[in-house]
Amino acid sequence: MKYFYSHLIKTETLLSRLDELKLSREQKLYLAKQLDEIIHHEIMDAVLLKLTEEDKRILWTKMVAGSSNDILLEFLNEKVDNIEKEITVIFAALEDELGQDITEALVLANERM
Amino acid sequence: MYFTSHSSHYEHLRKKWTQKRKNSRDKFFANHEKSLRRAALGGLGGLVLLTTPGVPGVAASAPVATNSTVRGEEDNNILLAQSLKGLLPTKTVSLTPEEEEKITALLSQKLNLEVSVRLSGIRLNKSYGLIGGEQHLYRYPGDNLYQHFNSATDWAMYGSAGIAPHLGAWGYFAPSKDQFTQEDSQREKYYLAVQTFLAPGFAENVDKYRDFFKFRKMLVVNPLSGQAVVAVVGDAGPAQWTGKDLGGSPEVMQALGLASGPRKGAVLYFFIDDPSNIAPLGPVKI
Repeated sequence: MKYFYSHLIKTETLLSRLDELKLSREQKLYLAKQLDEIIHHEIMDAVLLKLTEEDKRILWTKMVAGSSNDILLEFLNEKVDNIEKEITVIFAALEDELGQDITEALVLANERM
Repeated sequence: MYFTSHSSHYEHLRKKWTQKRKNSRDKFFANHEKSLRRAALGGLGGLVLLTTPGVPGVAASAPVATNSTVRGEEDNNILLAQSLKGLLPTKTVSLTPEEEEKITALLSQKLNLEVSVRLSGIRLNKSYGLIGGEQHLYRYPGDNLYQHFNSATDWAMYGSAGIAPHLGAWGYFAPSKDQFTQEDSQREKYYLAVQTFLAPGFAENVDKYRDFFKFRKMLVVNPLSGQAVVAVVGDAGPAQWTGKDLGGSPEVMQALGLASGPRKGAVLYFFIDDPSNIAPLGPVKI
């Protein structure tokens, strides 16, 4: 699923490192679900904290109406200064943290070999 | 004796990320639950913002698919499969012209598409054959497998097929990443490899056929399940020695219900006459 912030985050590094773990399809699906939800909740939380209650209501309305991601992002850019940069900064921190978790898992995987 | 899991690295990551997911979700609701409830009470269904399952407090008002709507779609697929059953030979042999006519008429009516065996005087050698799974294709210079996915879940679903070492028969889908459009993305996602070289008249009209087949819109139907997908021709193949008649991208195979196990099966495949480009690519909702 594509969100209004999808083009601002690059999950390639995390995904290619997950591939190094040689996981089964079911294991990949489970971890992928956790990863998507962690990223989504963290970014949405940060974005909504920047909005007034009224602007949150307008955002909900637009989303329920099926507004395109471009329209949602345009709305957010009007309401919050540098929101796109904020999202990239949040994701960069997440990428570091989650990447570190994968590194720990890779060490464990290599210890077994 | 100590027992160690063969997947200690997976268990480590699973526990960590399950907890982090819980923490991030709890934090989100602690910060925004009142707003969500207000929006839900206003009938707006705040669940749309969070399309992931298991959102507490808003499920009752959320616009989610009910068992009856999901079952309805599955029933329609089954009905289509039943309609096709009596029209198909028992083996995946070439269809007779009469069979092709009956089947395309049925599919056109059921799916609200202009389905045909022949377009602009051109047809493939077969319309009922064995499809096999293909790999992803490079879409623009500098593309890589991981850029193909909008989410980690997509990667988990479709990434294991890998990416073909060669370009598709028509090269990249876009000349550069900057010029890469949503339409290009959908074309690679739902692409077919068809045996253009076996189409009657191909050898005598290579240029004409090459241009005709490039991103030609097609309908592929799994007659056993009734699942159908609209896709485009994005590559030429497979080679005859493989025993397969066409290939489908990972997303096409998923849409046909053929993504697991041997990743192959018998399918019907026809052109869609859609000069206005109205029919969207992807699974056909009956």
